[in-house]
Amino acid sequence: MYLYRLHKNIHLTISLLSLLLLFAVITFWGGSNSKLILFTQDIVTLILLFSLTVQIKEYIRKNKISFLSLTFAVASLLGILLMTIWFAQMFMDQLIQKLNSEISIFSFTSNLIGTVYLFLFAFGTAAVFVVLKEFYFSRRTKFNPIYFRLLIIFGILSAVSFTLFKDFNESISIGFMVVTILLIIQNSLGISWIAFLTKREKYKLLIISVVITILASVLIGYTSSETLHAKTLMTYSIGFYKLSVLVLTYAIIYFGVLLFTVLFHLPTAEAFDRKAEEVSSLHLFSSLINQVLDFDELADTITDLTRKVSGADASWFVLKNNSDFHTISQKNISANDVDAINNYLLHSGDCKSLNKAKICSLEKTIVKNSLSEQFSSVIIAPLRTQSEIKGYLIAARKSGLLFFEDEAKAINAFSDYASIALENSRLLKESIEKERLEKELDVAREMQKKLLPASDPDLKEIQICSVFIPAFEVGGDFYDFYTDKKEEFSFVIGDVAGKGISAAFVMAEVKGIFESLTKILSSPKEILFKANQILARTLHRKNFVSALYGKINIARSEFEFARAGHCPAILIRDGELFTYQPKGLALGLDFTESFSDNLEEVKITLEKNDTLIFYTDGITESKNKFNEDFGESRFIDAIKTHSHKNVNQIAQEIISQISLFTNDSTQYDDITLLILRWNKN
Amino acid sequence: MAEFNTTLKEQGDISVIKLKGFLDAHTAPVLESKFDELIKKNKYKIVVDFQDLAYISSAGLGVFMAYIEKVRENQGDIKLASMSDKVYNIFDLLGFPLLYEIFKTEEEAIKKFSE
Repeated sequence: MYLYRLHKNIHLTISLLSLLLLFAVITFWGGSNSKLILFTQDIVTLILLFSLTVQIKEYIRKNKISFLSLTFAVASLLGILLMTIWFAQMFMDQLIQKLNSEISIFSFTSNLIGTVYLFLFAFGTAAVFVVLKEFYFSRRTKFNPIYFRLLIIFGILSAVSFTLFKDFNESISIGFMVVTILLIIQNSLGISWIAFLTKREKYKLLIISVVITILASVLIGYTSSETLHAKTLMTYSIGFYKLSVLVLTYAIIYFGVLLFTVLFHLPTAEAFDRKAEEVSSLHLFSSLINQVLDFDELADTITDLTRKVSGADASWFVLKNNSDFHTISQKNISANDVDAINNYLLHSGDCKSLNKAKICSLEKTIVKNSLSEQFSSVIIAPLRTQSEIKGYLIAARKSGLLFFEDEAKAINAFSDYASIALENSRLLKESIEKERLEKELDVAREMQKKLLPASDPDLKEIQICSVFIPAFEVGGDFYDFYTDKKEEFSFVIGDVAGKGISAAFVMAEVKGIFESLTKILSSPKEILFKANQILARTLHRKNFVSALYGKINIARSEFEFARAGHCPAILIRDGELFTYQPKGLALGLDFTESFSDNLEEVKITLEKNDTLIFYTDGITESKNKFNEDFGESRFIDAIKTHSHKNVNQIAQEIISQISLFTNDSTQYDDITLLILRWNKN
Repeated sequence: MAEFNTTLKEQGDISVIKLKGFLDAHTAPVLESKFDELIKKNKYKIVVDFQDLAYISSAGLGVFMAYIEKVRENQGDIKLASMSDKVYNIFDLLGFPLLYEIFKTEEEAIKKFSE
């Protein structure tokens, strides 16, 4: 199991092996001055360091540790190393001394402790180095890995050269070290990653880099060759000792530079934060435009973003509704304060009627005293469509500080986006509502169409022509023919008060009532009376129905009709026109006896070529663009002029007269026209 | 379509609603809310002045039907006044003069209440 894991992690294996090797070398040849032994120690330690750095780097990459956390880790590691040194000095003084003096003598315990000590420092050094390397390779504007590679090469050279050239010329290794330190300085300049930290993070980083610089300096202090620490490390590897000094130097220089860089960044940190916020808000603006399905959500986003872009404490917006303003989605402010500020801004004060965002101070105004919180400055920006101002976007700040011009500009830009989004949302809502109404009207129109006769009856004695022109909103006109009875032709024409789907439902009911009554009763008056009685049970008072029921007895050439509040009947005989308007209440107005008391029946004996005309008020109340009615007189004139023609032609002429008059004005009510001509002698 | 509005005038315990413009299916709710308002305040003596009314559709007439029962149950009435011939004809055609008292002037209608 263990072996398997070791096999999987080759670097861990190498680390452990090199530690063992080092332990063995010290055990057998400890204290030897042989160059070969010392060089072997250096190489083994370098391998250990290398394997450690690889593992640490993998760990950092895998867990995506943030730079701030890395600096914190470096500080902690350095702290631990320092504690180790102190601990070692306090308790292991004896032990180390023993190790040093009896280095040639086999001392298992002291060697073991020494190896662990070395490992600890090797790990610390490797970790600090890896972090510094990560920093170097991040967010470089001019990416140049050659300097870092040179740094590593010279670092290793200076470490190894101490052992190799120890006897004859130390200046070579000192030369290498100087070059390394110069490279360190070169690599520590141009730290750019801190620019993207927030103000808070910059403060944290400032403190950590101070701590790191101090810790690293103290640690360097312990590396002077006389200390126990230095002696212990040198026992194992002189190269590593030199390397640890170099890495510490690197840490001091890098974090020292970092310290000053952060320090210089601090004054602009806030401005930088806000700019970054503005840039990210800009991105949000564009998403705003798509967020139009839910108005409330959109309103919330708008006020949230308003506060974000301007750094305001409170925000809200008002929309114009006729002459009033409605407050929508206020954030961080009480309704009373909003009302007070609105009142001041929109009705008094110098901030009304503006065409771009304006900063208004509330200091020294009467409003200030009436507010429950200390709002001192506001930005008000108009929400515009192309043609008009739909409302205002308002941001308020407490703290006694005024807003700045750039914040007003940001709000101004934002208000343009917000008004587009709001307008889109409104249009969408409108079109959804319109579509719903249209669907409803489609159903009503369809119903009406199915309730009306599909075609005019074809009778020998009576020529029949009916014209029905529905209004867009369904006016409630209906008519029906009954030809089931022998020697009898009956019809009904009527108009339900109201429009749309509710009128269509009443129509359906009325049609059913007449259809059944016409089978069992024959007098028009009786039929209307009964219909009124039946409707009493269901009809809402405001949905009354006007109707005219007529019956022609074909054998006796007799026309009989009664009128329940409907338009009069017209008879043309020999070019002369007679209007019949017998008494009669509309159905559904009165359910007492008074209905039948006031219902008159008219009987006319028909002569050949008599023309009977029935209609609904859609004809006489057709309007032109000046809102004038087509009216009875125009209607009668049209009938008179064309009465000698056949029924279809008469109908056609009347309708064309109406359309000439209305001339494309909207038709508000259904138009129904029924023309009968008596063909029998 | 065209505009419609109402003005309310109180004369003692009698409320006079003056209609103006076009009363049809679209503007009927305006008048309905006026009646609701009066009934809520227990004002059942109502005179409707038609002087400035240009047009009334069947849906407009329906408004009067919707409230008349409730008003009369409470010993009140809706009396109509100052109709133009055109508006009167529409009322007449449907038989409304049988159901409502219609007066030439607003004063006559008010006077009728105090009798």
